[in-house]
Amino acid sequence: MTGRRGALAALVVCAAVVFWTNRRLSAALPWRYPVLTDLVMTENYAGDLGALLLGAHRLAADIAYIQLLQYYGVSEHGHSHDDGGFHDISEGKYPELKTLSTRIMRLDPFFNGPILESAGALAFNQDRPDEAMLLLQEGIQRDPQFFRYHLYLTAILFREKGNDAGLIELLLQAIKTPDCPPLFELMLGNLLRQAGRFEDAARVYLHTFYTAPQESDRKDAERRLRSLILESREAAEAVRSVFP
Amino acid sequence: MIQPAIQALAIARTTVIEQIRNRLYLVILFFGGGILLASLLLGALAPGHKVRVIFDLGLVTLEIFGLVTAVFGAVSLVLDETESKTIYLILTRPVSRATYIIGRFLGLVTAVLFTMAAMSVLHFIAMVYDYQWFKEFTYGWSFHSVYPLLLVMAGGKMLITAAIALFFSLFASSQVSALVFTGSFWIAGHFGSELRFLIDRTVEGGVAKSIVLAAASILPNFQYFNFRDTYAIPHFAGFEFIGTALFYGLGYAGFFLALSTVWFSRKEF
Repeated sequence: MTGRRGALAALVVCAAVVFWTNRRLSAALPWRYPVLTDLVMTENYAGDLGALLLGAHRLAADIAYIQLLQYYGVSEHGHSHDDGGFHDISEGKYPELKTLSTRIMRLDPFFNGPILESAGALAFNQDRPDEAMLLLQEGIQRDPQFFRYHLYLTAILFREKGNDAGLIELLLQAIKTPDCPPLFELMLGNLLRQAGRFEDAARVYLHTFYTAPQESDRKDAERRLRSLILESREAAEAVRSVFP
Repeated sequence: MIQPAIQALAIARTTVIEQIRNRLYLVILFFGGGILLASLLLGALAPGHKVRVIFDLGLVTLEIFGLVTAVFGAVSLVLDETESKTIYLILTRPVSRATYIIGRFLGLVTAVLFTMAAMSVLHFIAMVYDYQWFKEFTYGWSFHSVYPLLLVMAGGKMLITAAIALFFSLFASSQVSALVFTGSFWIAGHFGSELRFLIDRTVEGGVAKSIVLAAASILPNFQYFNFRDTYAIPHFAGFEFIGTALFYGLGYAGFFLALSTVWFSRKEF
């Protein structure tokens, strides 16, 4: 009987503790993710929902990112990047690229790397800057503190207006961050090469060659370095001067 | 006061030993370890974000297998003992029912935390396996201070889950129903914050809103512990409220434990 009374008293005390802490925590930790109704409807919707049922927004976004890579990494003609090395992804149209990127953003708006990669691919590989800008604008809305969205948006606008000098300056800032997508580095290399800054271009290609996570990007950087050597004697000298 | 504590610790010790000897427990541990190592393969599919994938998948695996251990452990502990009548051997001794419940709970939680600790070692190895990528992943934040806290918070979730599972194992008529009830609490608990957010946005009117909010407050809110999902959000305030969250966890677990004791003390065998 005493045990039961003690348990009832504990019940009341614990309920009070839960009530008090719950109030404090719900005020201090507001909901920061998009709600379920914002999720993008794709064929993997059930999977996304399942992951969220387990409280795994980040993991759901990771899986969505892997699926995006599988989508964009395979040629629309049926072969992958690894088929004989370099394969030009700008050949395909990849109509779902923005949708699949938005899916990642809605699952985890703070997973910024893939959004930058997709925006770059849309604007500079697929020549669909409007979609890239829409993607970046949503990114800015969901994670306004991530300044690189603004930077990339400005870069796309410069590209649209043909302002190469402005674009070079912006990209020089962007590549200082460790998670800058290789696509932007290679693009900067090309712009520097067009501007006659061979040594800087070689440095950028070399950096991509040593640091890019994907083999296709490393091969691409190597290919561009070789073509730079063949371009002119001045360019060849510049490449030689940057080799360690 | 000391005697019941000693008795509870003895029951807890036996529970831990029972759990570790249980074949199901070992299968769960082995399977969890296997999945953690398999995360290396999944990580390889996301070059550039390899360690992030291993990190996220590992933390989710750790929790899910912790949950499975807690639920199966709790369900089999009391239900099996009641069905096989071996519970009489304990209750005919001078051991109160409250002491029995607390001892069982402490043992179960220790076994679950041990599983999670063992898996976290494997997880850490999987992450640092490629040190260059690990360094890049941890660039700009202190992994060594954050990772242990994420594990502590996952432990907080397990504390609540084990108490809920124990309660349902007493009140449910079968293992399956206890599993379903606990699983539902787990899922609903991860929607606590989102539910409040949606209620704030959609439900109008003072009374209606208060009733819905009160109903939502009854469910545990696992988002207070879900730091593995939220730690990287800019200006995330959670780390300042760890103490409050753990206090909430203890309160919630204590509530269900007290409820279990009340229920168990009324139960006739």
